[in-house]
Amino acid sequence: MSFGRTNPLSRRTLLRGMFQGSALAIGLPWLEGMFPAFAGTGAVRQPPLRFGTWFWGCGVTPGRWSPTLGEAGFALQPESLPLESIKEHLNFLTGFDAILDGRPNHVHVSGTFSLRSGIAPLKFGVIEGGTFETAIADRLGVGTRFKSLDFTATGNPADTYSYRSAQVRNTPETSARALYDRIFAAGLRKPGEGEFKPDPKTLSRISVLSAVSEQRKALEANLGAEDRRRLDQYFTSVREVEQQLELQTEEPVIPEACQMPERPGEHDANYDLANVHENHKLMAKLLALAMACDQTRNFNVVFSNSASSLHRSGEASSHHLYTHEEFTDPDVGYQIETSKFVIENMKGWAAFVQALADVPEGDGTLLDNCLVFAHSDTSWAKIHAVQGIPMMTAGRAGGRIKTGQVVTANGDPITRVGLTMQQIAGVPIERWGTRSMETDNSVTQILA
Amino acid sequence: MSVIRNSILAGVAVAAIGAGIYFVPGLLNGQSGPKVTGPPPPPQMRRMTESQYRNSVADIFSPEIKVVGRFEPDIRVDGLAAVGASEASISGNGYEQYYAMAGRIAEQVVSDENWAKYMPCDVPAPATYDAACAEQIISEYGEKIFRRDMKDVTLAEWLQISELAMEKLGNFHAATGLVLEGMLSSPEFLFIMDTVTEGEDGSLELTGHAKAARISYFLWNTAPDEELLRAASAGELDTKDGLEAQVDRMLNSEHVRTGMNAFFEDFLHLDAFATLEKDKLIYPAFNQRVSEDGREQVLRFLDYHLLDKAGPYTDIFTAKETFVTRPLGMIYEVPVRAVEGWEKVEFTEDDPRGGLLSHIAFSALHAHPGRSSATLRGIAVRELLLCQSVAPAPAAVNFTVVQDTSNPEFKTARARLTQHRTDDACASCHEFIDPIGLAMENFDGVGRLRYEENGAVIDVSGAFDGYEFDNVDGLEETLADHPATTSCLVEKMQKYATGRKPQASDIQWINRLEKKFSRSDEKIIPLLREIALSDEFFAVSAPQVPVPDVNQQEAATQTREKKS
Amino acid sequence: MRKSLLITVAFGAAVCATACGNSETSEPVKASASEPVEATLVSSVNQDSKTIGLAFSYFWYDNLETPDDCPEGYAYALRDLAILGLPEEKQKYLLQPENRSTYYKMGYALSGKRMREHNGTSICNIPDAYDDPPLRTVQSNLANGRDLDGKASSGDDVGSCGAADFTAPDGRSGIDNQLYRVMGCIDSYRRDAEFAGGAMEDYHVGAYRDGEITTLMEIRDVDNRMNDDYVEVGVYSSHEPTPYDSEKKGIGHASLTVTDNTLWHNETTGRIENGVLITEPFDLRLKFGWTGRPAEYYVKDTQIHLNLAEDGTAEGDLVGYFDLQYAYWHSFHDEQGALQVANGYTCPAVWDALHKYADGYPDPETGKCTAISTAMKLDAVPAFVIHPPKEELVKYVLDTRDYYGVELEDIAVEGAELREPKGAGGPPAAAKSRKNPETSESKEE
Repeated sequence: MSFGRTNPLSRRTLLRGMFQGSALAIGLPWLEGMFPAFAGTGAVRQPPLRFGTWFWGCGVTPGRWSPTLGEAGFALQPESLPLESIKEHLNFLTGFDAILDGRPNHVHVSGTFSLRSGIAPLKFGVIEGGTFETAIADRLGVGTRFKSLDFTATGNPADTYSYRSAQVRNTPETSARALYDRIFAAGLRKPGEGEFKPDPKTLSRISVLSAVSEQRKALEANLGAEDRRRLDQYFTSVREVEQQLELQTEEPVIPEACQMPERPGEHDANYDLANVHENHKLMAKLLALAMACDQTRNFNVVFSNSASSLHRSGEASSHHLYTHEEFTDPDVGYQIETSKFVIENMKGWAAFVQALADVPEGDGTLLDNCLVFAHSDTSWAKIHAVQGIPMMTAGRAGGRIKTGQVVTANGDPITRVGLTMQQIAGVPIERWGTRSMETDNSVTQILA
Repeated sequence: MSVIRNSILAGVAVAAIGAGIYFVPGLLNGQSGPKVTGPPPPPQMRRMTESQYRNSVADIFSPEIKVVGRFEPDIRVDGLAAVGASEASISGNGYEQYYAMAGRIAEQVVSDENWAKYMPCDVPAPATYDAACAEQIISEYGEKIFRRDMKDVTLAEWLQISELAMEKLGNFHAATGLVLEGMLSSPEFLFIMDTVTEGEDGSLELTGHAKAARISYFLWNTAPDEELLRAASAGELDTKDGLEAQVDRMLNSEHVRTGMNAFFEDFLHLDAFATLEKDKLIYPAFNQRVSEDGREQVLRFLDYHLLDKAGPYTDIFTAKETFVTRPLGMIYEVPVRAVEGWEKVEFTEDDPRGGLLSHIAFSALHAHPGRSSATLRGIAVRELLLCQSVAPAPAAVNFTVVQDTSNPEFKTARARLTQHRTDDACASCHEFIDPIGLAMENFDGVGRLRYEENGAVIDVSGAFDGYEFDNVDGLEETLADHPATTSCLVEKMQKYATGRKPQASDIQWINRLEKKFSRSDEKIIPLLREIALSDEFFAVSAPQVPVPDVNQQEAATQTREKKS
Repeated sequence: MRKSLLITVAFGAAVCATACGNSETSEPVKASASEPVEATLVSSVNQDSKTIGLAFSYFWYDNLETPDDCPEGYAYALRDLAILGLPEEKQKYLLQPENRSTYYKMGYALSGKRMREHNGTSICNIPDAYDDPPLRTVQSNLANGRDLDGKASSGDDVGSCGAADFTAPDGRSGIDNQLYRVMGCIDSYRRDAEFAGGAMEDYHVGAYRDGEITTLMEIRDVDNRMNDDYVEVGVYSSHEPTPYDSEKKGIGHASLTVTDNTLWHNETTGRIENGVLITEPFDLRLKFGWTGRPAEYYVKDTQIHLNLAEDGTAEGDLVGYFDLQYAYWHSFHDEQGALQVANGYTCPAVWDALHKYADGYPDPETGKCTAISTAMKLDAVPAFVIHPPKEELVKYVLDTRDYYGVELEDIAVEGAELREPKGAGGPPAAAKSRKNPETSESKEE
């Protein structure tokens, strides 16, 4: 059947264009797949919400990453210091645990999938359910050209943590050129050349709402003055929503920021740190552009893999090997090389967030309309601890969330975070997770 | 600084025993003689609370339909969100949420997998329009959603909407979805609005459906069920026997628990659990699960004593049995055999726990994040349980001594508060509040039992309103004996049922309810019955402000101008 | 069933008057507790507490670390064996911090080579396959622990198979802790060592914190918490997580259900002297797996000394003879070879050392000792020990034949069925490394 916001393809006009000899169907931006359920009303078309994940491997060093709360907000620690320039866009989520209930701690796996699927895997390598960001992609990605654009900066297509179901995992792009070709090879249609037909459903909605408004007189008849004012306020609110719907029936304008990029050259794609940074930077830019042009509203980025294989050129020891092999320096009390790799991962995160913040959109930036969820596979990689796995969000999700918060949970199930992400994105879900990790409690501290 | 008593009835006995300086008699208290009357209140418009919305959707469609979204926060007026609901409207942001929720609900209801489950009829192909089927759906669901008779013009209006949607969408299921979405976004669903008829003498009367809505939201906190709607349509609610039959049917149902839970959530301000935070280092055992279970615990406790055992209301102060889960067991420091779910515990007579005040929903809710608070707890007893009002502390108060729990000179809360009370500005108020709160000092900031604080034995004896007690058990016995305790419950229940502040015309009614409550051994169900069968419960009169003869927009503007 | 069960809660301690469990009246209630069973009667005032429940919050070898333990240096890992044949200059070069990655890489290469030579079988399953240099072991005479056999052996008594006892730092002689001799020079078993210092302790304790394992203890029939000449003691595994706070300290007063596997139920008796519980010797079997290992504690002649603090917590030690095979599997077995590269030992060397220093339970036929003395430290927080209903009890032993490469007779327990170990089985990377060991850098441990 065709009713429901899960299938609004009908209202999306596809522009057929020719570029470099091949046909390209490209969707226009700003047509909301669902009603924008967020603050900031008025007669301005709201950019859509985008959601994505950003993953890094091997966690952080205890005591060197979690921001401390001070009088003037929070203070970053040595390993989170690379985030200084973007910290106004971030929330830190600490103290949430994967609770295993006697199930094994499969190293570098139990944490990630407790967090993403809400189920601590019993068997190594056997994921017992889909991961939550696919549910969000189902919600937000309807009608965009790509339901989700995923890439890994490591060159290894096996580095993905996004599972549509227990068996099906999403394969990421591994090079900037491949990502470019997928999105832009056939070119980008300039605005103003398409024919626009407003979505009949939106038009119907508007007529239903005006019919609702017409009941006003009859309702007012028996009310006292005070109640009439309340009813009046109510209909003002209805009018605001009507105006938003009306905006959706107007021809959209492709924003300035949606520009055809240059085709990137070939780059080495592997676990070499310098290559990872370079590839990640190129692909982050392409992804940001793809979102500016509303080609996708969902993404999954892997900066470094679970059990991070990042290594510096000429060195055989990877980040992961350092976590186990490197001694704890008695003078400073932590693993020095391991900590350097954490800092490299955080530099990658800062670069990613900046890439989204560099794209103007509406009165702000693309980042303002994103909810990016970053996390790792463990907290303290040395022993694969799954208590207090480090997590962050970036972006204000179109005004749905606050930023600058440091949430410290007291061993609450880590699924509270996945539940919250889904709810912010409008997935109709009240409870999530299994066994000790089943929860219906979202992390309200970050909600706007 | 003064303590103002804004309860209209409950404090008479209190004032008489010498605490009168703290009370300014309520507006109506000073009036002499029993003949206080006035016109009945105008028709009402109450914004549905979150739980009413959720229950209504579950009962109109199915509990399987997911309701996800953020609700407008409740406004508390006169200590009750139920009263605030009669003053609240819906903001722009809030309406976006309700509108999106309506869409999601409609989407689920008309989905392919659910259509046959919820819809009385179908069309052979989605592209066909069947007016008879549309009419059937609209009248069945319209009556439930709007709590009104659809036989009038309303049905035609919605049929028109349905046809219009069909025209644009070309799909019957989709068009029906839009109709439901529209209904669920209508003021008549989001507000519980009284519909009235005019009697022969020109006086107003609630329609049968409006009566049904009042009864149903009061007793079950949800939309009227089919049987109640049938009775309403048949005019049975206008007869004494018909009304009694329906009220008794509803009171004998399990759903009355839902209704009572909603009342006690409001009465005890349990919504504060949503934002309850405790210091993680001081109280490591307190977490989200404890908070969730603490809220449910007190409701189970109240259900058990007041409904299952059908004991007098005051039993909740002297009770020794309650319920725990494993997370709560860590606070109570008792074993819980059930891995999941609830287990009953009974405290011995010499254990200070068991009564309402020992519950986390009281002790932890009325405390600070890192310590207990005799003051907050004292205020809660005065305001929540005795319907007495305490004015806020003056601005220029030095709280240093009270807050420093590590001061070796003042080891216990009593010592710290005694020091604080030497300040004249604070003394009068704290004498009113603290003795009550100090009796609860055996419960720390999360409600964990303790007999010592910083190595000093905690003195939990005290006196208030002329009663003396040795400990929290004594305090709870005092509350059980205190005349304001039961009159406060009756008064709050009456306000909750009507959703408005008591008016002059309510005085006699409340007096009668109190007498009957006392005669029925202070049992809850008879009180609910008495209220639901009262003429006053359904009485309305025309709104006192005449409708200005100008267009609505101007009228609203003028009203605002007058107010400002 | 009685109407109610009197539970007395003494302050700080989790204690039950008639036992929180272990009797027919205290079975856990099913999830559908809408009709709760008879109330548990609770009193805070009655100090007539009979049962003390505890959950382990820390459990790890009581390894003494002094500068004199390992005069020759720490034990060789595969990474060391890989460079042993090189000229001394080259060895020195590789051991410099900036070349350490090559040094490790050579260890992994050797690990891969060994596995390849045996068709991917873990070398730990065939420890006799290689003659590695003998494990460097503790050379000092000092160790923590207790005298298990009442003898101060100087290496000549048959019952101890020739292992010489230690002296405790406080002067007590006859200390039996030969497992310390074996593990005391392995870097990952020490805290002060370069490279993997602290790794094993962190893994073990981390497994408790992550909820992978839980150990419970119950002291029953306590008439007097300071002095009591007879108490009953149970030690049990549980599948429910011990709660920890955000500072990773155990939180008290959780109710935790004992495992349904009676193999991991251990019962003994004991006494309390001046607030210290001392158990009679008993054989202890407990589930213990970190990162999915199907391991177990199997310690014979176990004795527990536990200081019962007023606030309900407890600390003390556990000593006994660790069954040799279980000691090997539990502490050293390494399915994929990575542990032996990174953590300072090789299976062949450890296997030999364990047999060399085994000092208990001589085989009546061969005279060889089959167990090795050990000493562990433990901390516990108060807990309520809940017993599962009798009809749910089962007895099973994990079928680790393939995992350890052993025969049924090596693991069978009378009356216990075989069950596949939950969650065991190596990561895909391991399978990959078996086929192509050179590229097996991404080891999972």
